[in-house]
Amino acid sequence: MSLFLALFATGIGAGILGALLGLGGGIFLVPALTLLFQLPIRVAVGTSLMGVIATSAAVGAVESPGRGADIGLALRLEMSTAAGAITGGLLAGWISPRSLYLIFALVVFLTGAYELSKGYKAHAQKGDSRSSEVLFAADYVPSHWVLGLSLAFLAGMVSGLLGVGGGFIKVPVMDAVMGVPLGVAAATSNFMVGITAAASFFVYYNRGDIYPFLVLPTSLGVLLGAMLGFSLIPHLRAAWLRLVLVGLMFLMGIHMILQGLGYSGR
Amino acid sequence: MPLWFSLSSGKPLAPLEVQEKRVTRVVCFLAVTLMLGGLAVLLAQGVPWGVPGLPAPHLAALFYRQSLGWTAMGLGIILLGILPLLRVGLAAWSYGNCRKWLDFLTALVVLLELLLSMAWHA
Repeated sequence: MSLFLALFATGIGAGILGALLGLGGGIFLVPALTLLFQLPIRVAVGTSLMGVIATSAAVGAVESPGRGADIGLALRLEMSTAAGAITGGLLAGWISPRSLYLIFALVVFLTGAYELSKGYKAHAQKGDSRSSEVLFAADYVPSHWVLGLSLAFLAGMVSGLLGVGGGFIKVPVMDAVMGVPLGVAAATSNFMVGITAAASFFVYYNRGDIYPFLVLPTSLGVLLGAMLGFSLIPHLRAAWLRLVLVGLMFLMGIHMILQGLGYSGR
Repeated sequence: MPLWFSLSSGKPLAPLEVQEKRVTRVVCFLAVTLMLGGLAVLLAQGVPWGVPGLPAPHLAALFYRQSLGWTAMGLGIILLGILPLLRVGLAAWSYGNCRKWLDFLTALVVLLELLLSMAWHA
């Protein structure tokens, strides 16, 4: 029973963070399940995929009109991401994974820096970030489509080649590059990561890597956590969300540089 | 820039949002009910609780040679797993109804890419 509660609590934490940042929660669940619960990586990834789908579902279930995912934008970016993933799969063996890690790390750092500078400019213009920047709006028009779609394609390609989820770059691409409000970007990204996770989920299911006794408490926790997390967004400052997101991006960037240089720790 | 990109979104399709939310809630409720019901049946049958336990029944074997508890849990998991695909399908259907053909095509392409990706990995 204590294990059920521990998995449930882990799910709540991953759900809150995943929904807040638009990452789905897999980035938190996989290390937690492997390090804290000593689960094999394939089982942890399978459980985490279910968690990402649960985050996506929870956000979809609680979003109020005008504060939800931009489905049209999500589908267009997802089209590019999925095409990138398929291209990545086809190119596997032709491109050196190490050089791709380094290229993607550069993209992550540049996008993170751009995201940070956007936040700084918004803060400098109005002084107080709470009043200066809206998290949700209905009157925005996404811009820089070519760059946005190209980065989504690159994220998909990296995902297909290296098996690394590119979810953490979608929110900053939408927010900093395409001019989508941060809250809408998080909801849209959660919609997208759910679609991507569903594509891999059935592979893990058919391979026997989905364990109901693990999935149930984790998914229940994620569902509750993500509902709570997404409901919290309107009460948070955009600057805080952005700082956490950029911090996470820099950590991922460093991790990718280490992988690219061969310090994978494996 | 193609027209369908520059016209993009920002103004979400209200009926689609409402439908997506409704479908998501119903599917989530059903999935959680099936999983919890399945767990209750298994525990009542004396199956010991343990992690990781047994893997979910294979798709092909879901409806035979399985106890009611495993079938219910497997169905709940699959239902939650296909929810994102249902949402994309619903978006395609909704765009088709509104005669937004380019959005409809985009949704269809995403579905196709997903199926291709699933087949590729399988």
